[in-house]
Amino acid sequence: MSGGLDFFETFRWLLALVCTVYAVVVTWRSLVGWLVYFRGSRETAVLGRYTLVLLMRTRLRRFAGELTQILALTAMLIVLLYAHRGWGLQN
Amino acid sequence: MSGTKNEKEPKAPGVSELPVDELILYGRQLGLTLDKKMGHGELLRRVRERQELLLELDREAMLDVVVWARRPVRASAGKEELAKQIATVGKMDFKSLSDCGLMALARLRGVPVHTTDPREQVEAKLRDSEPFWHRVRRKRREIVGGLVDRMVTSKLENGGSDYRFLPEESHEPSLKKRIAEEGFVGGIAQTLRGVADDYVREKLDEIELRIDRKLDEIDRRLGEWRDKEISNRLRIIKITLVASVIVAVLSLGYNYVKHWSDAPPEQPAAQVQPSP
Repeated sequence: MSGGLDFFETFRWLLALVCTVYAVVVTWRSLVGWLVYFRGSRETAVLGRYTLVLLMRTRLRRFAGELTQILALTAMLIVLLYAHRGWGLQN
Repeated sequence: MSGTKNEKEPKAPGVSELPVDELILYGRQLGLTLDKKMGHGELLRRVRERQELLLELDREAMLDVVVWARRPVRASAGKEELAKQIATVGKMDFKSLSDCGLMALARLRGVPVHTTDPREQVEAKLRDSEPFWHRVRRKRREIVGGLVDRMVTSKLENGGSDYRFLPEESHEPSLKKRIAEEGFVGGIAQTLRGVADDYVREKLDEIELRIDRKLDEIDRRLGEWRDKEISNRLRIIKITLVASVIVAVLSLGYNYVKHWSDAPPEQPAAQVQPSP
C-alpha cells in the first residue's frame, strides 16, 4: 500500500471484523440460551434429549441440493481469497 | 428339516399369478434384490429359487438367526415369516450365532458357501459380501447409537436380557367344556368374564393405538418443523456466503485495479544513457 489511508482497505477489514464478531456473539448466545433452557428442569432435559435424537435422525439427503450449493460457494470463496495473494493481500 | 404342525410352507402356485409389482415386493420381502427391468420370467425364477431355498433350509437354523437378531416372532412362526424377518437383519456381529444359523444366514444373503466351510471362512465371506455403503451406514449407526445410548439411556438399566418369543395365540376352551368343568353358572360366569376381559383388552388396544397414532403424528410434525428450520438456516448460510463471495470479488477487483495503477511506469530503453 502506498502512502495515506486506503478507504476500501479499511472498509474491508472493518466489515470482516464486525461481521465475524457479530456472527460469533449471536451464535454463542443462541447456543448458551438453548443449553440453559434444556438444563432448566427435568422436563426440559427430556425435551433436550428428544431434540438431540430428532436432530440425529435428520436425513442429510433431503438437503443435498442446498449443501452442494453451500460447498460450491465455500470453494469459490476460498479460491477468491487465495487469488488475493497475487494482488496485494500479502503486501 | 424339522418342521412343526402349523408351519406355513411357501406356496409356489400363487406366485406365478402375481403382477410384476407385487412379485417384486414379495421377492424383496424374502430378501431378494429385484428390479423392474428384469422380465417377469426372471423375477419368477428368482422368487421360486428363493422358495426352494426356504424348503431346503432348516427351520431351527432360521430360528437361531431370528433369536440372534432379536426379532419379535412366535416360536411357531413359519419359514416364510422367518425369512422376511431375516431379510431385514443387517447385523454383522456373528459371535452369538450358531454354526447352522450362520450357514442359513449366508445362504439367505446369497453368499456361496458349502457345509464343509469352516466358520471363520463363512464369516469372512459374509463380511466381504456386505455392500460398501451398507457398511458405512452400519458404522455410522453404530457411532450414533453409542452416542445416543450414552446420552439418553445412560441412567436406565440396560442389561442384555434373554430373548423371548412372542406369546402364541391362546385357544380358549369352549362354553360346553367350561360348563362341563365348572358347572352351569360357573361356566357361564367364566365365559362372561372372558368376554368382558376381551372387550376391555380390545378397548385398551384401541386406546393404545390411538395414542401411538397421536405420538407418530407429533413426531412427524416435529420432523417437518426440524426440516423447515434446517432449511431456513441453510438458506441464511447460503445468503451469507453469496454476500461474502460478492465482497471478495469486489475486493479482488479493487486489488487488481490498484495493483496496475500503483505499478511504476516502465522506462523507455532509448532514454537510458550509458555511463562514461
